Amino acid sequence: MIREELTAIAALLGGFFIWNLGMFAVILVRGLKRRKEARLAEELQPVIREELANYVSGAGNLPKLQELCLRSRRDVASVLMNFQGTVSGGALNLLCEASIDLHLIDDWCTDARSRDPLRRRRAFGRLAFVCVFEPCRRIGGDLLKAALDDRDPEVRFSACRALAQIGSIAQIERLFEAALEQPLLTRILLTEELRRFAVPLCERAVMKALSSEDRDRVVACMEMLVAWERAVPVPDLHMLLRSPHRRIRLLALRLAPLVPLESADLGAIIPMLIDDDVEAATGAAVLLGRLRVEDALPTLARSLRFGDAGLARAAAEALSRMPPKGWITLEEMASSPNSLSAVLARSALDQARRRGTV
Amino acid sequence: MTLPAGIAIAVHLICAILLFSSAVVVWVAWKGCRVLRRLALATTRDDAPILLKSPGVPAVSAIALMRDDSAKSLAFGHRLAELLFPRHELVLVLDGLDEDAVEAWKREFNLASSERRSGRELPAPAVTGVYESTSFASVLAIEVAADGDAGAWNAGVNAASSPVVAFFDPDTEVVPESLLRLIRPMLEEPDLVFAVCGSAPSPAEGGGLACDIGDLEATRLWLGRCAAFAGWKNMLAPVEGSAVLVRRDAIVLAGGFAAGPLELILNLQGRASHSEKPYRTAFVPEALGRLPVPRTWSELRERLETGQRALAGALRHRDSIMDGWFALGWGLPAVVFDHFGRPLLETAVLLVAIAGLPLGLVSPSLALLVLLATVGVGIPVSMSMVVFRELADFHGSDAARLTRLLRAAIAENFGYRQLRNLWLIGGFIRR
Repeated sequence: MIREELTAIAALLGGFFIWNLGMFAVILVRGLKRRKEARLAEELQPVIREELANYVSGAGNLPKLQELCLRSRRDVASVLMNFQGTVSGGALNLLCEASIDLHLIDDWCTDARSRDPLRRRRAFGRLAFVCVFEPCRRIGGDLLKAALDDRDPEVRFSACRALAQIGSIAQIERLFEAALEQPLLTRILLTEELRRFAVPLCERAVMKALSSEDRDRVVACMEMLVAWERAVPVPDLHMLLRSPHRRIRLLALRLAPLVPLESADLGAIIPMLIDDDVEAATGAAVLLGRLRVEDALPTLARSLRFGDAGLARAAAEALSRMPPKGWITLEEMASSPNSLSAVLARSALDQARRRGTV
Repeated sequence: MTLPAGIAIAVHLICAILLFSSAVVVWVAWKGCRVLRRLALATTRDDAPILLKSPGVPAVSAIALMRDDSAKSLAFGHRLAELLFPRHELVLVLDGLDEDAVEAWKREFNLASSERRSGRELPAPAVTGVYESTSFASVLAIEVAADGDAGAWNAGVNAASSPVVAFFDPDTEVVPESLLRLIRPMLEEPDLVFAVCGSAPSPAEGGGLACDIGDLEATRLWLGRCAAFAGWKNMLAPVEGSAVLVRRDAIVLAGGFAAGPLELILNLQGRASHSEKPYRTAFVPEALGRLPVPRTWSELRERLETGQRALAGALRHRDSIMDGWFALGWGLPAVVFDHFGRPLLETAVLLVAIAGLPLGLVSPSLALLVLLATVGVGIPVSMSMVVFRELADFHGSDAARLTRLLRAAIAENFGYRQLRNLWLIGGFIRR
């Protein structure tokens, strides 16, 4: 009995051992191939870089680049992409032209139809880069347009990036609207691409999104506006500040310093100091202090007296930014029977005076 | 029943368990390999440069407990202070330090007394001093009286002002871009991902057999407890060298720390599995904190025993972890069996075979079965770990390293494996 057991186990283990050895051989061959490729890249890439640098400066030697392409198209494409972000204008056009002359763009168009996701993504990333150049756009533009609805989010993102660089304002607006529906990560990445269109987008697309009934869409739009960190016109900010949705109110407070405020907006911010939501009230106190809104002095004093520790501290800090009236209020509060308010008022006043002295 | 017959039945049973568990180990590692391939395919784009500039990324507070002012601790503090992230702060919890040690930290980071107050959401010892750095942006240090791990960690979370907190293993060399890599899953699914664990084995370079075996150990851990567990629902927990990101509100909701980050994640996973929503912990298979590969046998032993102590420690706190032993479903019992039960059975059956053979209590064929169920199965299992790791990597390793690992995969089963069993048993039992 045990003999059969031993034979069966030994056979199983032997088979597994041989499978492992076979796999080792395969990965060893793959490792050697990679090493060979790495060595070739090490040898060729400095030469390719120099040739391409000469090419974009107008002193290029196309036959030499073609010869390098014959040795390793992969390395030429890789070095060409390394120029991304370092060249612009005429030099960028020359670089993109090189991708046509060397037929690299044809490779990428082929790869863009590949079933290998890694190869496709790389191809679309490269097409998105060179398609800023009109002749390249004629070759790869249609692929990029079709990729806007691709199943692979990375391919979709490359297509969106390309569109952000070459699209008309109508297309950019469509891109912005599409971005509002994307997951947070994609939205953050597209926000950066759309930053330079902040003002034209605010003319129509942003307004449309902010007046949407869909709360998630409004939140996404406001997050993008806050992330742009640019002065943008938002006409009805007070409506957002009075929104029944907490997240929208909080984002509106973050947006307020970036927007030219009207009296209606300030009229919406001051009552937020007595909001039941401590975070909103504290945010309002910080904002009013930063904007030095003296109309808010009585409400800030009330928040210092009756608010929780965090709100009281923010109110004291806000009052300290509004001399002399704010300082007078703090002096009065410093002798208040409420020990927390008194301590916070004294501390804020001391710090403000120190800042003033410095 | 005679004694030899009883021994034969027991040995047969143990051998069957060992063979079956080896098959499970291979299956788990294969699962890990597939998860790693899926993750590698899912994220090929490097978003770090864009995320670094974006104000839309939530702020992160990195929390570190400091229990001395040694050069190692100070260096760890510096590495955390130099993390790259759009908005982050470092919260140093100076836990039970004497005056001299606090002064050393003050000097090192130019700490000045601060008015900043900590929250009180979690039970924690009283904060006796709050300091902010005048030379580093956003470094906060809080001084607390020694009150155990849980209290100190809770004090750190109370002081943290960001919606997300990060923890790093103090033994690791933290990579500056760690937070940028870790945050990605939270941005992809902000409502569902409540924690992220990141880890990958560091490359071993030229340190002899101990170093290569250390590399194999790290591979085993990575494929199994990291990658494979990440592929099952609510089973991932940090291992040695992991970097961890957790949503602050999730920690507060869970009532804070029961002990360290491992117990916290176990508790959160236990809670998540009871939730109606598919909350999950994500895995980032990157070396975000490089845990140096052990170069000597004593370092290797220390590494194994540290892992065992952490596991045993988590089990000691099982009453404060939701679902206790089953916080990770079948994951925790399986890990305990693999790290304690299996070494115990293997050592026992080897001792019985060695002692029973000359006494005639164990037949030569039975002894051969024992050898096959331990060393015999160990060699292909170790080899398969290397194979799976290579299959998970689309780029492939250096041929010289592969050869070294193949040699180690065979050699570790003759002597090291048996010694490792003793270290694992000792590490688990010893407090």
